[in-house]
Amino acid sequence: MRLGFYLYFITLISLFSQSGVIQGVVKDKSGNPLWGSNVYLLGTTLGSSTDSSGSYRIENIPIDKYTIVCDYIGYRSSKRSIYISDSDLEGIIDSEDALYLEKMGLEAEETDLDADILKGNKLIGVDFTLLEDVFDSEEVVVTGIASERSVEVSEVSVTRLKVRKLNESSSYTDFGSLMMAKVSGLDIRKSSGTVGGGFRFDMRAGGGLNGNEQPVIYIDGMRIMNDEIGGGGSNALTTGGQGISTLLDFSPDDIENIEILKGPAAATSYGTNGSNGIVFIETKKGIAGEGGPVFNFKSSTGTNSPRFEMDNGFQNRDIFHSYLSDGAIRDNYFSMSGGDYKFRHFLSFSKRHEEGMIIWKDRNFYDRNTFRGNFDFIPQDNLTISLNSSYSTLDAIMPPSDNHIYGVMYNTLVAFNPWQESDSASISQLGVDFEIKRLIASASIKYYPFNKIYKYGLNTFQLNAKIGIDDAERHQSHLFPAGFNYALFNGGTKAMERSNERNTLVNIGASQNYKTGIMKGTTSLSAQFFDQYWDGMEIARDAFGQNAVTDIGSGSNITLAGEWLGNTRDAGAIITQELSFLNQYYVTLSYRKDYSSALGSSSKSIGYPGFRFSTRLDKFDFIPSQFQMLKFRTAYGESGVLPNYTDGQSILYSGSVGGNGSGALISKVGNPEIEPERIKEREFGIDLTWNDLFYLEVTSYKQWAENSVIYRPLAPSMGYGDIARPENIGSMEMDGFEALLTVSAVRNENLNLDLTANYSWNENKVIEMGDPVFDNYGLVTTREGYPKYSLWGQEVISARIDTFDLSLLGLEGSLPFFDPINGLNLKEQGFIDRLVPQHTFNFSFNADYNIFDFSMILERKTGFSTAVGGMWWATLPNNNGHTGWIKSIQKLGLDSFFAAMNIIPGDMTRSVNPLVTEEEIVGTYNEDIFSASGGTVFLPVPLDGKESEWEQVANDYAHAHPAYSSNYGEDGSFTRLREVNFGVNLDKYLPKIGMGNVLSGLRVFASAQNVKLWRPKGTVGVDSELNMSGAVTGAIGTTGTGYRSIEVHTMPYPTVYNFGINIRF
Amino acid sequence: MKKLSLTLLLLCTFGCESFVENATSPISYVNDDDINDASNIPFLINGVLNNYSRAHSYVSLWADLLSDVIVNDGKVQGSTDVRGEYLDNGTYDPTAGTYSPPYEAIAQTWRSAKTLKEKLDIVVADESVEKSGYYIAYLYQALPCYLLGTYYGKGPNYPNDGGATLNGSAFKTSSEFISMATAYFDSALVYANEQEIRIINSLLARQNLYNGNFVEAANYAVLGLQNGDEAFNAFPGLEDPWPNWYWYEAGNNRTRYTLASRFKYLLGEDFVDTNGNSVWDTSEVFTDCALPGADLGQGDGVYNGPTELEESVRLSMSVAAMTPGQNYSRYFQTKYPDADSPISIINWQETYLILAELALRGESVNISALNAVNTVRNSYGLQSIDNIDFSILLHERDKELFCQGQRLVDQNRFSDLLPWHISGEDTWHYLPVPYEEELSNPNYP
Repeated sequence: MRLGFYLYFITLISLFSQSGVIQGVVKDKSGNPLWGSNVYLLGTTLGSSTDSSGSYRIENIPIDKYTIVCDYIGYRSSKRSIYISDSDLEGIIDSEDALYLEKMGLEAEETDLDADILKGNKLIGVDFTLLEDVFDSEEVVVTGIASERSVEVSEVSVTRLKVRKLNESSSYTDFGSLMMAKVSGLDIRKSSGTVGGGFRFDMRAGGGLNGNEQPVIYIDGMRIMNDEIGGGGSNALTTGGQGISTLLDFSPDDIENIEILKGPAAATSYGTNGSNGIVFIETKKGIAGEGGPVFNFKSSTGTNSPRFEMDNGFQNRDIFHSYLSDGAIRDNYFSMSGGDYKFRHFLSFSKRHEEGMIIWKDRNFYDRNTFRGNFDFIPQDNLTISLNSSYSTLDAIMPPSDNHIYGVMYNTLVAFNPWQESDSASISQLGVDFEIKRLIASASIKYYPFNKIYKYGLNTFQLNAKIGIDDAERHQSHLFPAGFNYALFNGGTKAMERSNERNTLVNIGASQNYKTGIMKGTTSLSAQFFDQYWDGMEIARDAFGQNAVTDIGSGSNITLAGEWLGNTRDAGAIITQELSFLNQYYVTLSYRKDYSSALGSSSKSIGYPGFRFSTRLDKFDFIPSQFQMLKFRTAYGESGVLPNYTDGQSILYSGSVGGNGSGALISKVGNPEIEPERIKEREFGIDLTWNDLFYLEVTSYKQWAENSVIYRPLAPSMGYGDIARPENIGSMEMDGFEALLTVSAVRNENLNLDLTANYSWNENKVIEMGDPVFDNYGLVTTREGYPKYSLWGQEVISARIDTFDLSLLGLEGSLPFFDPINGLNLKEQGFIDRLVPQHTFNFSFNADYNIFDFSMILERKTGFSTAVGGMWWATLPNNNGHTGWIKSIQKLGLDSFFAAMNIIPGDMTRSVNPLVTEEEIVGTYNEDIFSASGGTVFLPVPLDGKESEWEQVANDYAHAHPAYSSNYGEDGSFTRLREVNFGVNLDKYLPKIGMGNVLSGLRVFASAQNVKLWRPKGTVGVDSELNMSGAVTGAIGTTGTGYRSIEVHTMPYPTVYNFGINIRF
Repeated sequence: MKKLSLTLLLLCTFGCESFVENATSPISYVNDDDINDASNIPFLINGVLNNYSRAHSYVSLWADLLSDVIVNDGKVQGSTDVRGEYLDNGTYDPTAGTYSPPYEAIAQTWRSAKTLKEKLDIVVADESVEKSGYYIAYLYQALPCYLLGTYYGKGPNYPNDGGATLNGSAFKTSSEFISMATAYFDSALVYANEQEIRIINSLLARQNLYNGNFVEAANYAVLGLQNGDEAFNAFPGLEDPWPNWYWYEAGNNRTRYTLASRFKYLLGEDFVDTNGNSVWDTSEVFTDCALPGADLGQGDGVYNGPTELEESVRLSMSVAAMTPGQNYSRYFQTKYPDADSPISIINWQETYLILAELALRGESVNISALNAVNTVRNSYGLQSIDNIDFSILLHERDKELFCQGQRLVDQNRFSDLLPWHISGEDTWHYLPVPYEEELSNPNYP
């Protein structure tokens, strides 16, 4: 009886849990099997991977209807609709037949069946032939906070970088260096060659007048900190300008893809602060596969090499170069990836050691360790859970080599007398020590509460939620040991800073897909909550008097102590409506309402509308069939930049401890009316692919910045110190054009040859801002009617040869644009050039031949100037003079008179420091007049027969005259061989060397970055991308110091060499 | 589904606003409206005093740099300031760095004192708190006006260009500022105790002396600080931005600026004693300090003796580290050895030198010039001098008021006895009203 019952029950179960099978083969169009392609049932946990023969098999498929998908990297995915019935369906013709419905487990209203549907219980021979996706146009990219589109239909320009391949052939210090010269419209410049330093990003025309010009960066959906730590300031922690990049806290080897939305038209749903673009970094995920997890090990070794050469105008350049040597790079990366359709994992660990070029390597390096764990769960077929986390530790010491009197560069290049501010033994002790620990984690859920219908991919309702955290703990310290020769901080000084910064992000959203006749649509509703919290403390003590005990408690005097805490909160509600008609016309409408604690009390929220449209012109019959895609797109969107977090307050006092105790000090004068800067953008573009031969993407955009916050300096006499009050009075206009052309020149079994060229042009102009601001060299300005960062001044044309003598005496009087004191012909004071490249051209070449692959990237930037501040600084008499200038004075034979007039110090005259030989002297003076005037009047004249040389030298003198800092602005144009990468894939030789059972992949590579730089003839600066102000732009306020395209003894970039090996097992 | 969507919509609409309103307040700031309580008065008073301490040492240092007290010599380690070079040369280039900080500090003192007065007007505080508060509030509105009227100008020429701006005003002449200062001093007197009354009288005496009002100066001077009275000092602090600026820029912290060589002469040290008389004679050469020529003309002080070895009591200095290859030394002041070394705003010694000058000018001050000067000298244990005239008095002032910013005023007042030390036309005799004021003050120039 009992047995009978069990048999009955088992029969019943088998009857109602009957399942089906699908199996088939996946091949490319040449018939080659594709090993490792994924075949799965959309929206379920059911799937498989193909084996080496390209075969797959999926079993235990419950009776139902599905979409089966076949994916393989680099190929267009393929889909088919299938029905798994409880038995084969032969004999059933009417799909609304009751037997059919019973077998299918369907309701009558669910029978909108396509004719081309595979039906049955055992579907054998479900084969796929995948076509190569030459230009990756099928890949889905992020186009908004609640939207994704494939490149083929996206209404906005979205760039995707496939990073996995880049990492296979090189070793990058961080993802900034990885992205350089690869994205049209994104100009990335590394502000110094000091290891650990950051990057300046200019997305398109560089945004409006506000913000730090860094894009908002998301890693796996978590918005991360992107600023630079340390570098500036006046206490002992300063390095002179360069700080540690927060983008250094990740291993680039963890990155799978990077996607970039370049402006408000694309980023409007991200709201305020999206105006300088959004960068989405997607890290690697576990790949389901048979045969257990896959292990990867990558090891590389390399050098940061000082291949540059300083201008020979710096007389001590050889001394400078003698204090440089190759810095070692060592990088080891290990990852493990695996899982199945229900659980996938990716784990990695990396360790990188990188040294700078200054010879004291223990004062000039960083050590980074990163750990990553990414997990995806599909516990049930309507629920996906993803966890992404990374933890990093960074230990770095950054020397004060940039614009610092205790730097090697200052004391060799600028100083007439080497080590004039401190000797090399003292400088060798210095370096700001950074210790950083950082956790970034996010968890996201996608849930389809009405899963049954979801399987068709239509009429689905999705709920999603994400929570993320970016938590950094930072420690900086700098010790000036006692007993060394420092003009400042002597007697032993130590400064410390400990800080925490935590960003928290919560996204929630719901979306509904639907289809009505010719229209498909998605309506999404989302909310985003973002919390930034930071706190910290700093302390400095001096007068240690000894070096045996250097904890900060051993210093006698507290010279600095402080604490801070801040918190800002932003939130936005977004509604998005996506529509498509006839699979040809695509429209997206969006509106975001933003709230922020940084807004003034009278401006609680701000709205950002967006509109996009695209159409596939290639669907029209009159378009030749060779156009696989011909798409026109246009978009309009708005974004903004928040004011600083205290800008909405009126007057704020801080407590500051002077000699009379703690006293009130006015520290901020804000504006309760303050609103964010608003940036509007209109974008047009055409994307096309032609016959799998080339892909062209062309985009034109125009941007308007309004309500820009200008920090108007309050007059010093107002009694608020150097405080500037924020006001919404600025505006700008920006234009630009971007083009990307990829040519798949050769593609066959043995050789793949791709050429990519991208070009971008941009222009920006300040329309309104009130008074102009200057940097404190009077050279860089931001002012109405000109580009945001302009080189400004009076250019020197030549020496006034005919009146050189008289002019020096002031006898010539004041003529227009003539400097009678220095005898110089000048141009009218005004705009000289912009400081950010106007034209950027990148060209890359990629070739895969048999087991070899080779790539190179060439970049050219033009249409801008830089200022060689180091030369100007060195030329000032106060700093004991630039050799080039002194040399011209000496050639003129005037050095002793200039010394007598105290124009140059006496010991720099030719007699003490002969920089020219007697034969090189081309001028002299009129001794009679000199004597008659009591030694105050001299009349320089050319030596007989040396008139033309004399004129030349007089002009050399004029063009290096320190009275005109414009003399040190020079053409910034350059061409750079950015990268050369070479790899050899030895996979197929593994069996031959008996490693086939142990390893599944073996690859070696060699690469070089910043290989060669070409500058216009006559330029003095080593690299026009260096920037003394570090990587992050400050607010435009009392001075233009936020952006100074000036290299003032800033360490140039090294040439980076790497050799490495990748092993997969 | 509808319920879910509705819930989400409500959360988006109302949750966002509520979320941002609950941000944590910063701990480092307090709103102006939140310090309207009597308990905040000491906090505000300290703010006034700190601001003035910064202003006073900063302006004094720059005045000494412009005068023949302090020089900017690029061959000294740590001397890298282009701005200092221009100030030392009496030139002014608005594009070469900012000249604002001391000007801002003066105005910040005035602003904080004015705010203190306004807060006192609206809070209910103890009488003693109110009295000391109003005294501070008025006194420290007076002192900024005195500094602006004495040290600043719109152009180089003394006395035609003197004056400045305050609170975004149009340019006010030196005499306008002095009148304002007088009014504030008078108001402060209402709340002053006996010692404070003497302080104010000394300050008024100096102010009137500098402006040629000798009768008034004499009236105030006799009521000013007396022998033995505690000095009226500014108290710099240890932490940035409050240190004594002589220490910070021209002292133990950093030798951005150093002393003119003539102070080494005045000490009578380090010379080659060619005639073996153990004292320096004008023909004898100093062996280790910068020669007068290297001072850009600042070394030829008018007073050439007698040498007074014991003057090191008042002229405290130490040798500075030079850049490599130099065959001479510079010296920096050690009168203010620490970040928080107090600096005199006025004291009885200065008051006595004021009395001495007024006596020389024939004013009735109840003490002879010689007696007044010797009283000051004797207080340091220095021997008395036998004669007094304006030259000797200026020499005494040079030493007694060493690194107190007074020399610039003396050079401007006594152009016959102290010829301007900088060669060239139109060199500045005032600290410049900064370029930032031109940019940001619609009423100036």
